[in-house]
Amino acid sequence: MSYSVTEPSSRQKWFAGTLVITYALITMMPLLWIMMTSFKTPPDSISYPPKVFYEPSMEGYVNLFTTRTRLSSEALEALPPPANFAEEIVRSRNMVISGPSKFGERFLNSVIIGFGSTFLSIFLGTLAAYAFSRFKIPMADDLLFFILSTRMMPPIAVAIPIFLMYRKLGLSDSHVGMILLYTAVNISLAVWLLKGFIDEIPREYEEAALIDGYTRFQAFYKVVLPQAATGIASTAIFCLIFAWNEYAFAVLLTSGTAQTAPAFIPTIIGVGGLDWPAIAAGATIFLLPVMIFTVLLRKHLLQGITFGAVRK
Amino acid sequence: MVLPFLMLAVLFRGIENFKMFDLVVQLTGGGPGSVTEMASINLKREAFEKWRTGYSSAFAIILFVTVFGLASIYVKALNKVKER
Repeated sequence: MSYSVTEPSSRQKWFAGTLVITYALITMMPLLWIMMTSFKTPPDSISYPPKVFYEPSMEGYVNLFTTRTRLSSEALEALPPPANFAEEIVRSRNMVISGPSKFGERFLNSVIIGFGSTFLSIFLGTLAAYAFSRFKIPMADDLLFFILSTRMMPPIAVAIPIFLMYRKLGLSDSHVGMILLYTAVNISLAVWLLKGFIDEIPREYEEAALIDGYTRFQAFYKVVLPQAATGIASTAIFCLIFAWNEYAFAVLLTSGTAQTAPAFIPTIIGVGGLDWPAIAAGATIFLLPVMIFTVLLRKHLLQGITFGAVRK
Repeated sequence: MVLPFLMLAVLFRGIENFKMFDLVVQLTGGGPGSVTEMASINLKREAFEKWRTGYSSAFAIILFVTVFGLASIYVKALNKVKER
């Protein structure tokens, strides 16, 4: 491994730093705006010119998690005083909470489908990538390209055949169906990325392990897997982000029991149109699991980088 | 050392962007008019709004063949870089 000989001057460092921070700020603006909108009241969220300074309110989050009914003012006055802050906010709009919304369910669907398909595609992808990397497979390049080609159709074009197949198999609008679908799309990414990572691991390690009496599977499990942890971690992040954010398939193939959060959030209707604060609150909460997952795996990413420096 | 991974990233992003759908639907819906109407949006309009099923199936196949051809050329180049 080679290092650059000249240390960058402080001016260069300053310039690079400014560039990176500016870029980060620009790319984070929409995110920041979504988070700001989630704390606005519905009138504030659609006011023109847009409000940058406003009184924060939890109304978006309350609306996200509840369904509400409008009552006449006499009926409202007959009710006992509001028990918590959520009821207080809803009462101020002349409504009462009538039950939980479907957001919790949809969010859970997203978690099950996202993590399920990530696990499955990493599991299958690692095995396939190892086979492609280490064994002599007839027409390996063509097979790899075939795996890649499963990704090339726009979802909208394959949705109808998949829908018909799923209906025959009884998989439409089910968790298993969506996990299988996202796995099928993600496996191309997993195989291609992981093959690259496993190619980088020297064969000599495994050969030494095999000579010392390990079976092929033990050598794979005990020698290759720890070395490939970096690759697996980063591939898992990419797979999860894809399955988590997938919108087209989710909208076209799910409507009820297995509907994921991206398909559900834009359909939240408030009084007189879309309830933007609730939608923004949904998007904000929706971001969290992927962020947590990435932070948890970051340790492995960094560990992998130092490993690489020692190895080569 | 990093070049194969960089090229792989370009390959996947390229394929993804070629069939970009959700972002366009939500932001512009293919409008104003048909200025931002990308291939997959056009496909959806032809198939689900005008119900020209034969036309849109053929269009989907053409799209697929285009991506397939471009990707196969690109993968050839990628393999060359890897062998170097």
